[in-house]
Amino acid sequence: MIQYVLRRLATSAIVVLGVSVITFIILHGMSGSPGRAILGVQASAEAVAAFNRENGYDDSIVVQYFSYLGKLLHGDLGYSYKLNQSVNALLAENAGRTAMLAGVALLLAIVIAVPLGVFQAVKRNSVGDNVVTTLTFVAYSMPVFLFAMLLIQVFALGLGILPAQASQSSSTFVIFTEPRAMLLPVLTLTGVTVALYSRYQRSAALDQLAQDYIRVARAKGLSTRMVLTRHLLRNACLPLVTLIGMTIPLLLAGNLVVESVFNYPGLGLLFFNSLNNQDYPVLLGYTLVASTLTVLGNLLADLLVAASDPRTQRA
Amino acid sequence: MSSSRTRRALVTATLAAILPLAACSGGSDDGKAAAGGNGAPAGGKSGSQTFGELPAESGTPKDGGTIDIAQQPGAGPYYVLPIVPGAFNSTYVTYQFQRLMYRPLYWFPEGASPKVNPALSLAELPEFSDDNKTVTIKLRPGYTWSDGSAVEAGDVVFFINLLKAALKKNAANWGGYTPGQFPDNVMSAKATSANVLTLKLKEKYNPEWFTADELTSVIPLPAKQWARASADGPILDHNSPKNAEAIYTYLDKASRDPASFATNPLWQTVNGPYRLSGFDVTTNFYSMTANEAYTGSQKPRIKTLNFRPFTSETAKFNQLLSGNLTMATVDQSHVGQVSALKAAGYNVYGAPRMGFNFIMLNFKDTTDNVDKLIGQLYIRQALQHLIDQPGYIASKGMYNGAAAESYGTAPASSPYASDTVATAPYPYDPNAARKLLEDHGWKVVPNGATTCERPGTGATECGAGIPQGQTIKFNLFHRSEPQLHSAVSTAFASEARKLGMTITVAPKTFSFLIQNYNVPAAPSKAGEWAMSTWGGFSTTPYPTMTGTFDSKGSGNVGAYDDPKTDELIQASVHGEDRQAVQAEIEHLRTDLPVLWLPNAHTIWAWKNTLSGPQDTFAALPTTVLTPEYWYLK
Repeated sequence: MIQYVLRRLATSAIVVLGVSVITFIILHGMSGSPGRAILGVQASAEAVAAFNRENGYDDSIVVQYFSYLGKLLHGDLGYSYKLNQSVNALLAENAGRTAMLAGVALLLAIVIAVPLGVFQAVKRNSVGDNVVTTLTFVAYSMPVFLFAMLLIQVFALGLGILPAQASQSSSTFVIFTEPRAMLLPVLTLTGVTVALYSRYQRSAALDQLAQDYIRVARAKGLSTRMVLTRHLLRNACLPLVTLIGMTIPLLLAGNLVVESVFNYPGLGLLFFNSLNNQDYPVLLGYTLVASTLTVLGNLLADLLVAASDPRTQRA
Repeated sequence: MSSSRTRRALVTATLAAILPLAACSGGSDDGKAAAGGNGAPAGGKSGSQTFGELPAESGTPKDGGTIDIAQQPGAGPYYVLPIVPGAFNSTYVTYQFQRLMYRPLYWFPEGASPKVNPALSLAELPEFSDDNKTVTIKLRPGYTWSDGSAVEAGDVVFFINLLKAALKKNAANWGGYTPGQFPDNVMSAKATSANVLTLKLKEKYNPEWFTADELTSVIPLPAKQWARASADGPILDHNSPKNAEAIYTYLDKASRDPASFATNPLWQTVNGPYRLSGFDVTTNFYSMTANEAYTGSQKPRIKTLNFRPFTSETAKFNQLLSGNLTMATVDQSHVGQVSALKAAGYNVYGAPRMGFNFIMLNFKDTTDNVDKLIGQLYIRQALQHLIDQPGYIASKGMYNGAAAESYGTAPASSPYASDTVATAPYPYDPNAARKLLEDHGWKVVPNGATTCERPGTGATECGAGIPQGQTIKFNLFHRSEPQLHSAVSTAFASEARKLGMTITVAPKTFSFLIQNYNVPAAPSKAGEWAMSTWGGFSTTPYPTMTGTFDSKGSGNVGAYDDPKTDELIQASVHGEDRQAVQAEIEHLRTDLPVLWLPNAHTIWAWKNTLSGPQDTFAALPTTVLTPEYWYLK
C-alpha cells in the first residue's frame, strides 16, 4: 500500500508539473504581448515595452517559466497586476466561499443521491424508478445556467419568496448565517450533482444486486435493510467514490455558472474576470490550483478504492 | 488622438464587452415587435440618437438616503491615486470612483455633450498667449479640501511633478500617457500665486485640443497633505525631481493596497462631493459617504452611495427586476425586457458612448493585392454602401434598436461635429456599390467572382496595382463574443457576396485581435488580416484622431496613410482654429479610414424615486456620475 501511495504521489507531481508547463506555454506563448493585451490597442509602444519589462515578459519563455517555477517552489503564485493583490491572497480569499458552497452542495448531493440510486436499483423499472429516472435525466441534460434561471424566475421573480442573488457578505460561513440567501445557489448545485450521482449509484447498485454474495446474504435470511446497508452499499459506493473524487475539483473550481448567475463571488468568478482582464498570473495560479485539486481528487479516490479493494493496487 | 489613448483603448474593451448578446444572426429589419410589442425596436424609433427619453426633474429634493449603484462585472476599482497606471485604468476607475473624490481641473461632459463643462470645473477656462505656448490657468476661489485648506495652483503643480516622476520610472505608470504629449510637452509649470498657474509649453498647441484633451486629465492633488515620502515623514518640496519620485513611490505603494483603501487617512483628504467609507477587498463592494465639507456648486444630498459588485450582466439585471438596485446599466442582451423594468418602476435611458464603431481596414495587407484594393476610395465607398446601419440597428438579432447611426469619429452630440455627422455619406445601397465597381472597370458577377476588366489608373479603371482578372477577396476577423459581432460581420459578407466579392468571416478573441491584427504592434502579421472588428474606439472630448489615423500614429492599427488627414490632424492639434477638428471629422467621414458601423447605446436604468437635473442623467452614457445633484423623492 505504501509503495502504491508513493508511486501515485510521484505520478501526480509529474502531472501537475506538466500542467504548469502546458498552461504557461499556452498563456504566454500564444499571446503576442501581455503588455499589449493589458494596456490596450492604443497604448504607446513605450508603455507596452515598459510594462513587459517590469513584469519580466521581455525575457524568453524558458527564462520566464523557470523564474515562475522558482517562485512557485517558494509558494509564491505571483501578483495580479489587475487586482493589485498577490495571487495567493486572491485564491485564499475566494476559495473559502467556493469551498463552502461546493461542500454543502456535495454533502447534500451524496445524502440524497446514494439512497435514491439504491432505491431505484431495488425498485427497478417501477413507476417510482421511471419517474426519478425521468427527473434526473431532465436535470442532468439541462444546462446549469437554465436550471438556475428557472429557479430564480419561479422563486425570486415569480413568487418573490427567495432573493435572486446569493448573500453579498464576504464571510466564508454565510451559508449558515444567511441560509435563505444561499438556498437557490445550493439547490442549483445540489440538483445537478444529484442527477449525476444518482444515475451512477443506480447502475452500480444494479451491478451489485446481480452478484452471488447478495443472493447468499438473502439466502441466509438477512433483512433487505441489512443486505443493502451491510453488503451492497460498500461495494456499490466504490464507483461513486471515484466519481466524487473527480467532481470535487470541478465543484470547487468550476461552479462558475452558479457563481455568475447568483452573483456569488468565488473562485469561478475570479477566473472568469481574470480571463476577461488577461490577468495571466491569476489565470496561471488558478489553473495550477485547479489541476492540483483534480489530481488530488483522483488520488484520493484511488486511495479510497485501493483501501476498500486491495486488488486494485496491483492494477 | 489625445494623451488618453490608452484609456480609450481600455474603455473600448470594456464597452465592447457589454455589447449585446445577439440571439440570432439575422440582418434585416423584420418589422416585428420587439420590447413592448408595438412593432418598433426596443429603443423606439430605429436609428434614434437616444434610447428612450429623459424624464423631467420631479419631486421635492430632500437630504439623506442611500442609493445602490451596480458596478460593471469585473470592473472594480483597484487603484486610488489619480495617476492611474495603464493596467488599472478604465472609465469606471476614473469616472465612477476617483472623480467622486478628486475633481479634475476641467470637467466634462456638459449634459449629453462631450465637452468641457465650465460650471463643474475647478478653474476658469485657460488663457493662451505667446503664440499658444503659454497657458495661464486661474483657479476658482472657494474650492477646498475636506480639511478646509484651499485647493491651490500648487496642487496642480504637485500633480504634474508626480506625473513626471511616475513616467520617469515607467511609461506604463499613467494610462493616459502618449510620448511627446502631456506632461512631456510641458517645459515648466509654475504657481505664480495661490490661484494662478502658468504652463510653458515646448511648442504651440491648438488651445481647444490642449484644454479638452490634455488639461481634462489634470487632477489637483493635496500637496500640503500628501507631499511626503512616508506616512509620518515631513512635507517635502515636490519641485525637486528626487523628492517627487520618493513621494510618488510612497503614494503609489499605498494606492496598491485595496485592503486599506477605506482606512488609510491619505485617501480621506478629498475635494470631491464624496469620500470612501468602505471597501471590501474580497467582494469588491465599496461605499462612499457625502463629504460634508464639499465646496462645489451643489452639496451632496444623498448621504451614502453603495457600489455593488456583480458577477454577470444576468445577475445585475435580476437585481434590477427585483427592485434591489437604485441604478445600473442595462446590457443590450436585456434590451428586450426594458418594458419589464419600466413596469418595475425604473426610468430607462440610453445614448451612444463617446466613441465610434467600425470595421478596421488593413492598408498594409499585400496578400492578393488587398492593400491595392482597400487603397482605392471607390472600393471603400462600395463596401460602405453594403453596410445597412438602419437595418442592423432595427434587427433583433443585432442591436434591437439600441444603437445610433454613426458615420464618423465623433458622436452627433459632440460640439465639434457638423450636423451631418449622423447622416450616411454612403448609405446602404447595393446598386450604388455595384455601379461604383462597374464604373471603375469591374465585371460584377453576383454570387460569383467579380473581376477587374480594365486595369489602369484612369478614372474608369480599376486603379494602381490592380491587374486584369483581379478578384475582390478579404478576410474579416471579428471579436468572438458577444454574438453581435458575428451577426454584423456575416450580414456584411452576405451583401458583398451578392456583388461577387468574397469576405471570409472568422472569430478571434478580443485579446488576440488587438495584439496580433494591429500593424504598429505586430507588423510581421500585417499579411494575415484584411479587416477586423472588435467594438470600436472611445474618444476624448475634442475628438481628433492624432495617434490613430495619422500616418505615423502608434495606434494606427490599419496603417491608414493619407496626407490630407495628416494635415488636418496637425491643424487640430497645433493650429489656431479652435474648430479645426470639425474639418478633420468631415474628411475622415468621407475618406473612410475604416468602414463605419452603428454606435451602440449605453443604457441606464434608475428608479423613478431618484431624481435630479436632467443634464446629470443625460451624462450617464458617458459613464460619468454626478450624484451630488441627485436626491430621493
